[in-house]
Amino acid sequence: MTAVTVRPAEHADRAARAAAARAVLASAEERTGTRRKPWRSGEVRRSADDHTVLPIAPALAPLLPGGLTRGATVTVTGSTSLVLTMLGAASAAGSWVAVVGMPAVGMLAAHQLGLALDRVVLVPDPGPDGPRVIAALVDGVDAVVVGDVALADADRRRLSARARERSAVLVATTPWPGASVQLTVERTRWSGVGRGNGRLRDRVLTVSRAGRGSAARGWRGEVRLHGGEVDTVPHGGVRDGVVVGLERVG
Amino acid sequence: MTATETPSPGGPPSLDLPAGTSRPRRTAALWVPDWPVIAAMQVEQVPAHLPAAVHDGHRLVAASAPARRLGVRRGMRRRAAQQVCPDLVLLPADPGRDVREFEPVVLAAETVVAGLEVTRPGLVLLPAAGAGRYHGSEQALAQLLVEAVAEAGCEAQVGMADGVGAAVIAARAHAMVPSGGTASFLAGRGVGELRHVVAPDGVAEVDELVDLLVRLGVRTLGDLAALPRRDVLARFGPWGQWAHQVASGQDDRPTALRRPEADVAVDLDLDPPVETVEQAAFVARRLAGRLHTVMVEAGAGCGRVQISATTAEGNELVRTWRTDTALGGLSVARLTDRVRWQLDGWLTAQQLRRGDGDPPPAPLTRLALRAEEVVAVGAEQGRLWGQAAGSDLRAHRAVHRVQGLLGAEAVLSARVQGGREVRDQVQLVPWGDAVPPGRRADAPWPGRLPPPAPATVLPVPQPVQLCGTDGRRVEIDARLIMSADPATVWWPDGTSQTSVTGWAGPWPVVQRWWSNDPRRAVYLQVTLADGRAVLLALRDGVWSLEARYD
Repeated sequence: MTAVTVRPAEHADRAARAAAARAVLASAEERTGTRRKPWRSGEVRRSADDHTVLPIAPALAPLLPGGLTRGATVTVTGSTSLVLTMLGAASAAGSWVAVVGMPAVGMLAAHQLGLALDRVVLVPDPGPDGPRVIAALVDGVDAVVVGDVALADADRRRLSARARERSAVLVATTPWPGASVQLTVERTRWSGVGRGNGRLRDRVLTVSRAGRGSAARGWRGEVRLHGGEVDTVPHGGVRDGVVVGLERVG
Repeated sequence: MTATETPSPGGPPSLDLPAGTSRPRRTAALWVPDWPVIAAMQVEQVPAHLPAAVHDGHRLVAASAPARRLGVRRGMRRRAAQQVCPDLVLLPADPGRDVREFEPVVLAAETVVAGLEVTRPGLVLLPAAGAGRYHGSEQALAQLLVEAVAEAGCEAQVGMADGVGAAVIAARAHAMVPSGGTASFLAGRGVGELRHVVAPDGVAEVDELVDLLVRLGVRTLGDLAALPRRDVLARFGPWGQWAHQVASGQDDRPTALRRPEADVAVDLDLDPPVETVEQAAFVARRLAGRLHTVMVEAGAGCGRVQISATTAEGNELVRTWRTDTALGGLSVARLTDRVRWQLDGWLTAQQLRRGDGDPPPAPLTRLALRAEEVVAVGAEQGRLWGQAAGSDLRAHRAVHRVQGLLGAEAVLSARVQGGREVRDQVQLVPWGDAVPPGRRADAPWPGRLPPPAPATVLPVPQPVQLCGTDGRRVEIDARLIMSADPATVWWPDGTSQTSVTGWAGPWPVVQRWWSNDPRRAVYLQVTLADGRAVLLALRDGVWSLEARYD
């Protein structure tokens, strides 16, 4: 909620107090659903505690410059775990997640990666109604993961537009024209397994990013998933706090 | 335990009650001995003369009088009880059944006295002073109560005393304690009687307390009452103080005159029987409208709706749905949708199960709706200013919309439950369906695959071939020795292969060999040359791809 404080010097200023009261009322209305957040780009407020960005694990920040912005469409190809990791923090913080067209998604892994399963909706097989189902979910759910659903490119564009309008995040595991961020897992490297001993423990994903806007600057780096913890290392390492040696991809 | 807990009828009350200032109110207790067993026997139609007992899976929680005569005791292990009494009829515990079956008894008692408090199934408390005056005397009141309950088919005992605890103990002794005589009535009784007074959630604490008191030489309630109150509180804490108040006949707690409302039910005989979904929708609408009217007239809302249908073959189909008060509770349209989806599901499932030669699906001959957990409208409190209530509401609406598009069974929610195999550890239920939770997840489950769990679990395992360094299929013998080191995985298409760089296991999982559905598998985590990791299983000599760690 937006913190509003009234300093004693302004106390006499009735207009300021009325504005403060209106701000409190507006934020309360937003929270209770009486009023929706303004979603037109001109009206969107950009303060830090404004809910225009879904929280992500801090280590994933290099992957998603500007965070998991509401209204964005993100594609993640090559790793279901990365999709689940990306949404874990948001789900734990109270967001709703819907998973459409992924009958094989491992909900135990989702649970271990931090998703609150009581706010996860599964639609394993939407059938030919895919576009309508995703559109309906975009209306009410904070993040919709779209797997293998029969969609035409026109449907994809319409759904992206709808997600933008409804402040929902679309995460696709298949290529999606017009996605604002495209993450591709090029390679996975597992550690912990020997020849007949140990067990799968950590993995390092080599991820490359392309996209538009703040993601247009290409990035390529490694993401280490260890249980529910995540570390990210860009290729080339960090010198004096400045990321160097980024490979320009896009 | 904390001092803030106040379980009824005897949680530790507030600590600053002055002692001996006023006498507690006259209270009558109506007690049906061994209620869980009697309820279970009524439902299961076990003849009353047979020894019977109710168990919670491990130990007996209640035994009937014939069983007790044969030496069966509460708290015994099932096997020990069967050893003592081989003819013992063992029935599973079901708190819901206890409550449900107790309702007729309470209604019968209510014909004598209005304003009862059902403390727990089997025990009813009522203020005795007014009712006793009205019916002439306390003896007359007790007699009327026993007769009324006997007409409902149960034997009950009534006790009266000052205060709740004393009344419960008096009921067990079938005694009428005269006003003012409570202390002397209680003085000779053992401290073990306290166990019968406490509510089920405080039994463990009271058991401990009683055990301690006996070891310290405080054997009767009289001994306990003779101790100074402050010292008892200092030594034994709030439960000790509560016990002291019961023992000295000072526990005064006004009986809370609240009971849940009875369920509201409507039903409809379908003549001609309903065979198609379209017909069912019309029926659903009519029935939903009727239930809604009844609820509105009663000014009530409900927590759950049970839909039940009877087929022409006599099968009973029952499903319970939770209604969301956040969504405006129960409107005719939403209720109709629910019923329609459910009927749709049943009729379609019958169609699908049916083979070519089978007769057409049995039409439905009767449909009933029952509103459960009925409460007066306004009693349920939504989270008006709570965190994220708005987004929850929107999400629920969206999910219901999708259920309207695809049918209720196509939208699932997942829960983590206990189990060893990857698929066993997740329980998928239709969204909004009130299904009891599955296996406990906090049990140890030895042999469970280690975390991290695979992110892609194939709904149906795919057969693959795992070849060893010798070029032959890898075999694993009973001692978990592999015939050769794994070298290559051949994928289901039979032409592509990937070489193996490492593996962990083999881990055997042998489950339910005693049941009709035994499971035997050996699991192997395999890392491949292209960096991927998969979970393979060997069942009956066939390797299959179970899950991908992608």
